[in-house]
Amino acid sequence: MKRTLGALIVCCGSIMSWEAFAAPCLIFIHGKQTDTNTLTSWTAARDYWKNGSDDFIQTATKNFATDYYVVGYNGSQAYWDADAAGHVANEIVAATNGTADGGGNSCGTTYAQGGSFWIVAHSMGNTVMDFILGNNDSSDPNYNYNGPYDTVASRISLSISLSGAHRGSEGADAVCGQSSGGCNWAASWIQSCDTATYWLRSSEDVQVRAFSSAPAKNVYLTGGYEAIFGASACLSGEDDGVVQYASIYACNGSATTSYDNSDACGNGSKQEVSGFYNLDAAHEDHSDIRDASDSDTRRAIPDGIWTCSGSACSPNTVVQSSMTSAEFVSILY
Amino acid sequence: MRIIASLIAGGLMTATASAQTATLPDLAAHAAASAAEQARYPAWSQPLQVDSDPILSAREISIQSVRGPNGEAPALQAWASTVAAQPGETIELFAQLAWLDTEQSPWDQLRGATGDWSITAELVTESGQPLASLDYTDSGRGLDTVAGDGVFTTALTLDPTKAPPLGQASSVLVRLTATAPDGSVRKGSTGFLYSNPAAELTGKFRQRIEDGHLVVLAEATVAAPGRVHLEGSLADLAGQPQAIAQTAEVLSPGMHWIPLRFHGQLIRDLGLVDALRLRAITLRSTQGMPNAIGPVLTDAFVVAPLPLDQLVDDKADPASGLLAGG
Repeated sequence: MKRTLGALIVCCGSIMSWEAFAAPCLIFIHGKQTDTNTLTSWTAARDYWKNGSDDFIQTATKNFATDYYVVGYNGSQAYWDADAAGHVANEIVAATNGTADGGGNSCGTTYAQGGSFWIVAHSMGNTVMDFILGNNDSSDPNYNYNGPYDTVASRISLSISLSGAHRGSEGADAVCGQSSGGCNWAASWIQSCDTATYWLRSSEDVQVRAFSSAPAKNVYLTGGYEAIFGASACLSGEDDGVVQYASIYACNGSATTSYDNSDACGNGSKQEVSGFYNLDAAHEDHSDIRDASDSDTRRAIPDGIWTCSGSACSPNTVVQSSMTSAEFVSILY
Repeated sequence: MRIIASLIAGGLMTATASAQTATLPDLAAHAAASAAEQARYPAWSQPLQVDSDPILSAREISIQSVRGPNGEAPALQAWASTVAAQPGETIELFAQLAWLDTEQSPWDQLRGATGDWSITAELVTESGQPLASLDYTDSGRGLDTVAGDGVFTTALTLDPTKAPPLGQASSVLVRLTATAPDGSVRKGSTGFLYSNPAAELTGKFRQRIEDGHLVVLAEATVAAPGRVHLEGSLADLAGQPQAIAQTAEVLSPGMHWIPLRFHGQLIRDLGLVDALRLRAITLRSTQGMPNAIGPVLTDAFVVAPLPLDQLVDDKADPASGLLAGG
């Protein structure tokens, strides 16, 4: 069954008041790290989103006109670890309470005051969010495992996934198999089979979907398809140099199936029975997509968000000729 | 290029595009509508709008593929026979060398070019402790069903003395090395869960209507106290998935009937008046990560046709309150 963004709004949009959709506070969650820097240093977590003068957060918040909060956690641990999912959950709740992050940024309207909150997560940050949002109910397998997952799920409106490692990375398979392979993994965060990498393999026994239910709030998926020399040759199908499309788009079936912009899995073929929706694809690599350094082509994907002349844009259609994913986020609210 | 974004009638946003005019729907509205739709039923009982059973899908194996230097073929592919295996169980491990980006099936070509490869594996726990060293074979003997088909096989019966504590599991990493006579080497990995659940389903089921909901009772033996998670799916007799339910309870040792509730209003809304199959059901211990996942039982029970007049009806009885949790 196909589920598209437009259809649901046509169905139910009339019951929603505009006031409910005032600009949200954006909560940023970084991806995997090779050390604990982003846990111990807020500046390190903030810098994750920068590349020289390019700044994802500055662009996504419309030059800081929108409230935001930057989360830091231990990105070298397993996604389900207390220093990962547990810490992230506590930080999100703090953000919704109006607490300032390490840089003094806070959500001006708290949850109690009626504020709305969007998560913007990159790479492993999405695996962490899958675990949190899929374990928020007392009937879930790992309910509130090491943090207030239920409070997070009740307070956020949605999560935007930038090149999420929802189904792991084939790069992690190679590194943990001790394959150098000339795949240039040294250019990315999967330089060694540390704990986080171990739990980001594509093997089913470590997949977040094995330990979670469907997300309590929608996860909207975008990702990159710009190759990284060496690394992309080692991944299945289209990829951003670190994560393959089957993972970026949270596909059901094998985590290593080859997909491209024309046949990426649709909204009815996700890793969970509900809650994952395609947005689009950008010609950015795994780093570009989180630092706004590459304003490039965006393309439609199956069941994606872009509408062309009143109907869904055909997959692989160029929908923007020059737009970073940070700009893309900024026009979603 | 600066983006011109504006809210227009119908909740659409427009962005300039050189290729063509493309618009975006209001994401917040979509998320809110979706949340409202999902909240119609509690998290413990949801309808299924998919073609494949999600419990079975989650147990499908992904094949790990690691290519050669700079992506060169052949790639070493590896997979395990199951996601989770228990003490005393024999897990099969498979591997093959493959050309992934062509339609060819070049095993004969590969063998002709490089002769027979050999494949070995080292099994280590997540903490790096060695578990076993194994040799794969393509001889057609033992568990390897067809000689020379390019699929190498090995197996390991899991030593109960090396099992995780009852109610817990350990991830096992399988590190493979494939070596050709000419010295070419491919390395790869796969894995499985060495799982030691403290509770297991006996295969006995019952049904009843309770508080207006369908309750499938699953009998389980519990060997050690702790939290368990039960998940099951219903399909019509043709096999089409219809609904999924889950529950979690803390149980003491002994025999228990665990109630798995399917919301009465959901049954009504889907018009499930005929017999239904308990398509898949599985029990796990959730006393830590990774969970001690148990096996999946399939088609283990047929739910007799349901008396709709005994199920909750929010139209007839708004006070039945779906969001109140039934």
